Amino acid sequence: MVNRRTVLKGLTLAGLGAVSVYGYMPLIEKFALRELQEGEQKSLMARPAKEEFQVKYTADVMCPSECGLEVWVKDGVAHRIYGNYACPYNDGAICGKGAAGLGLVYSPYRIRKPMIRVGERGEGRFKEVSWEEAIDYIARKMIEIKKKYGPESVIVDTGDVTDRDQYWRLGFAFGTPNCVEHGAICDTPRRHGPKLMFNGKRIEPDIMTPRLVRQPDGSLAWDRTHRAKLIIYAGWNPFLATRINWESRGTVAAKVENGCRVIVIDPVFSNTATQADMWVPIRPGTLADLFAAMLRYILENDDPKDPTRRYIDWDFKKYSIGWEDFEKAFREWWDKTDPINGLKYFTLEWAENRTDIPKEKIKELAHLFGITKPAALVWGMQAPGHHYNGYCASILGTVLNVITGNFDAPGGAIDTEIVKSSKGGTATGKWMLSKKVKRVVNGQEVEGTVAELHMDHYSDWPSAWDDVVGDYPRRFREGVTIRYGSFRGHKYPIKAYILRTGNSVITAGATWDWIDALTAKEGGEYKVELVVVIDTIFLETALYADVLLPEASYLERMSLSDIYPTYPVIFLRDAVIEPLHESKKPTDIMNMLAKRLYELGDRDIRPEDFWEKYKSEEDFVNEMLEVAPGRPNVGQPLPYPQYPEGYTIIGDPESLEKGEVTIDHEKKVIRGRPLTVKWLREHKGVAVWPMSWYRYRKWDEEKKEWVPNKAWPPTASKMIEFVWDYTTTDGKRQGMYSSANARIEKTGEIPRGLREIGFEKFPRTFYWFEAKYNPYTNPKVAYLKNEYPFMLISGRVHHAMSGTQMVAALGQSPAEGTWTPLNKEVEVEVEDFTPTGVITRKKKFLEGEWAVGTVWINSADAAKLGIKMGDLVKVENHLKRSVVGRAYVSEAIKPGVVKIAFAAGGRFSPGIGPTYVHKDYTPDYNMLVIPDNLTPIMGQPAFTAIPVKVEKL
Amino acid sequence: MNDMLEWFMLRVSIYDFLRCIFLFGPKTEILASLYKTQKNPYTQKLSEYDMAKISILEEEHTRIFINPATMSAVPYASHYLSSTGLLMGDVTFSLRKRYIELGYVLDDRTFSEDHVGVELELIYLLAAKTINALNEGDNSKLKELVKNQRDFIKDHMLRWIPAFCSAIKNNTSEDSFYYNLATLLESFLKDDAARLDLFLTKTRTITSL
Ligand code: SF4
Repeated sequence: MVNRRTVLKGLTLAGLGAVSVYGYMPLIEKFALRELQEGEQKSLMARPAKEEFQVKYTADVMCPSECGLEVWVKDGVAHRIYGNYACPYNDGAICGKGAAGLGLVYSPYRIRKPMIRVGERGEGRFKEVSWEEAIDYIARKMIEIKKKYGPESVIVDTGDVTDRDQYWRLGFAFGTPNCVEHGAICDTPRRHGPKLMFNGKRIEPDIMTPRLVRQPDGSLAWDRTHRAKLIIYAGWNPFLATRINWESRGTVAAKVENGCRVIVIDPVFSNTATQADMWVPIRPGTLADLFAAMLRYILENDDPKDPTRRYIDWDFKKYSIGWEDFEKAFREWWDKTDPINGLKYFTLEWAENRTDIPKEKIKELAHLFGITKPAALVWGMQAPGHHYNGYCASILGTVLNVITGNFDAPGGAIDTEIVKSSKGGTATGKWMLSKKVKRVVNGQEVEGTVAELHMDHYSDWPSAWDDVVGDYPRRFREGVTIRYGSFRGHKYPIKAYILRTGNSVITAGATWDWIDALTAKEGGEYKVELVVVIDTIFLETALYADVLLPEASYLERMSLSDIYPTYPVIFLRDAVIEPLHESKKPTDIMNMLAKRLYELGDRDIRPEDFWEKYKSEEDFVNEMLEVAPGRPNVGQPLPYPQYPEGYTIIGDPESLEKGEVTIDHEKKVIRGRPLTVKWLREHKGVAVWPMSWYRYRKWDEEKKEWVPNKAWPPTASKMIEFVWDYTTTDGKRQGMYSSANARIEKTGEIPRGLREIGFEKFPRTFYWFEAKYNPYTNPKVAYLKNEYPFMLISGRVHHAMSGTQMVAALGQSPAEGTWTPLNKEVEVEVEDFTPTGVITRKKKFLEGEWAVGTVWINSADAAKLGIKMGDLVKVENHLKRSVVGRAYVSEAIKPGVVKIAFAAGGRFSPGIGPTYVHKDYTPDYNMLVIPDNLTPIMGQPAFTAIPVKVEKL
Repeated sequence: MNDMLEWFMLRVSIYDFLRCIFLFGPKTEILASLYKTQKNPYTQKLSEYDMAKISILEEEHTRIFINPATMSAVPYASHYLSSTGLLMGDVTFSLRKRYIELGYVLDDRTFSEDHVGVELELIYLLAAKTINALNEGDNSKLKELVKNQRDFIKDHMLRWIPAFCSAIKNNTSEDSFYYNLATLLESFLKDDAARLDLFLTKTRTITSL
């Protein structure tokens, strides 16, 4: 390194009186470059000119599929991304978006340095600061808020589910239970049925191949057989929306190899529908109606003696509890008349009237599903996942899969949540929630746990499990009133919103409402006093941040895949390159902020829980892995016949296979060597454990029959539960709704969502309620259809989501009607794929050469309104909120429906790349979301099925 | 040729100023140096800037070079020179090799070899070494140093700096600090290349300076 002396010496000796003449010395004695030592140059130069590529294994984050990747790295730089063949999840395949990941990692438009806001929120004016300054700012503000309002006033929202544990841990230690994730605003109604009935989440068809299966001779073999005979995708579009790599692969393979029939129920002829044998267009928001009619038809027409009508596999009763209660409650509706149409509930006619599907078709669907085995009924993220009454649909769908004998059957329907490997364990820090704290409530000091301060569970949404909720803008405005538990009566405001990835302003509710809440002031100050955004890329919400922290991209940090497989498999998201610019890894950010909080006197933060414990991210991930796979040894063929059936399995696949285990008979745990990062690295980043089916039953040698194994599913009764609040024979109150109901009974406080649908507490079994804003099913809002005759729906476009349009080549590729080349002429910098890589250049796009978000409308409707392809139209809801967009006119959408892709248009962060250029004539879907349309059980916004009108501009 | 000697001295301070302002942003000590620098046509305009307004400069710096939502001038050579427009490609890799040949390595990975500030720092370091060579009367070393600098400026920096500077100018007003900084950067690099060229073709020994 050149030091000041050398330079000074040089200047002085030059005999020019340099110092006095120039007053010169290095302005800042810090240099990016270092002078090489003797010999160092030689060794660096001696390296082979063409250094070999290193192949490293990691996991994608470009979409929820999180495919296993193989990254080719040379000299610390990632050059190519391929699929990892060792990873059965994607079996070596990746999509164009995954392959284009380098366009994001090496984009100069990443958030490169910490920044602090200088203008008003929303103006996007920031000032570069050091990490120390940024962290100090956040820590001081957090402590100030903690002192004034309590730590619970801080929300930690890890918008993206992956790699969130460090941030949660910090939040929990700081003392706030309000740590949430992307699930907060995504598909909670869809998950509800599986949650109630098996403590599950998402039902998927059994088409994930290859799978590791125990053979009769005791060996393990990869099984690629397709057994599925029928898959019904209702409102689920895995080919384009939420990609699950194996699902799109498997659907086609099951068709080709096993003659599997595929039926798609969707208001639009979706990408998935193009692969289907039958497309059934349905009126938006009425999947529950269809499922209810299918169930009624199956119950009324099932005949065990007639092979053409043997719909129900009555064995399910052995493995479940509460069917009689469920059936009774369901049948009680059969004689009631629906005020909207004067028809009896759940009949074919009734469903025809509401779904707009001909009753013969409904009958055919019910019959086909009942008679074809194995089959899977799968429903989606938008529908019913974003429907106000999607809960009813997901409960009915789950019931249909169970009673037809398809649940966890080979080729049937699998709940991925309860079969995948566990991860996180103590690293997440949830155990800190049981810490005792005190609050003064109504003048009295009371003690309770941190958990009891939760803004949902102990307040308005007591059944908002899985860290979900959605009514943030209201929370920001009104704060939280604790209604249950020790702190009943305690009130606190929300004062800090720490968002790590994700983009709430565009994706978490009504955009205008979010902006309003984040910019609302009180006494000249922002009401939400601190907004922090931690991310790699600059999305719209970043415009509203006070502090921006650059997080290492997915190739620069270590974590674990968070996926939906049909059996336990886990793969490493490895740091394959060093963090670029000034970005930092989550573990380092966690430690840095924890340390600063501690230095500023926060003694809830303990060094031994953070920087003393986790010297590196590997330490953290190793702790996350300690619980893997954490699933019971159940099902057929038994994964580990050498070990006791029903015991929980923990450890790396190798040690389990070799018998290097300890068995704890009291706790019923089989423990091999804990899975570690090191082990994963030695095995191409992937750990796979054997798959089995019928994981709820075991063979009883004495009775010579299958009996419930009482080890799985992970419900209270370890059986499938058709009742959700019940008392066991030994007097215990159990079921998914039981604790929330106990709280309600104790206080007499009916949660706001239940009040809205006229319930007094959570129902113990089957229930039904109408969507708040569906004029075709809810008489209270039937008037809306006069002025707002269209139903607006949404859906994702896989390669045009959130930040990924930054890789313009992806954003350019058309998909369905919602993302099509209806652009105006524009000149932009674009990245193009070539055989040698991605090329950036300025390019002029003429009209019709660039895909943009559109308004998809049926040809007949368009003709009536005088709308032609490409015309600018306005879409408006009953709140008079509107968006504009160009019309995509086609037959492939049901009349009376308009569709706008989620987060595809109106993107107003210039950091997002070329999509920004089109913002003024492309629609931001969420501008039309109705803030008070919160799904009543869990509080998530009902994003889809909104009455609107369309007007030509 | 006292002129050339003065030029050698001047360029040390100007490259130092430039590397600092691009690497570390507008800090008081960096700006203050402008007052002390020998009067010259390059920094004249900048030295008239009101130091009290430094916070405006800090925001401008972030706006132009850092904030992805507003960044108008990407401060990386790769963005202009590579076929991909992305960072850390062949351009960066060949620069890395070139730095090693010249005796330097980039240790601070928060920057990359093709960042404008790092490239300017390289010239600054070589410029300071040039003074040493002058001092020591090491003729061949002097020539080698000057040649290396000229080549780096001519066949690398001047291929992208003009585009970078016009990107700055297109998004700033004519009387602003950064507009003038862009003018300084581009014109000084061009003049320096010419001067070094002249030195190499005309000057035979140090004594003939
Ligand atoms: S499907 Fe998703 S996770 Fe897989 S490669 Fe494509 S973007 Fe990545």
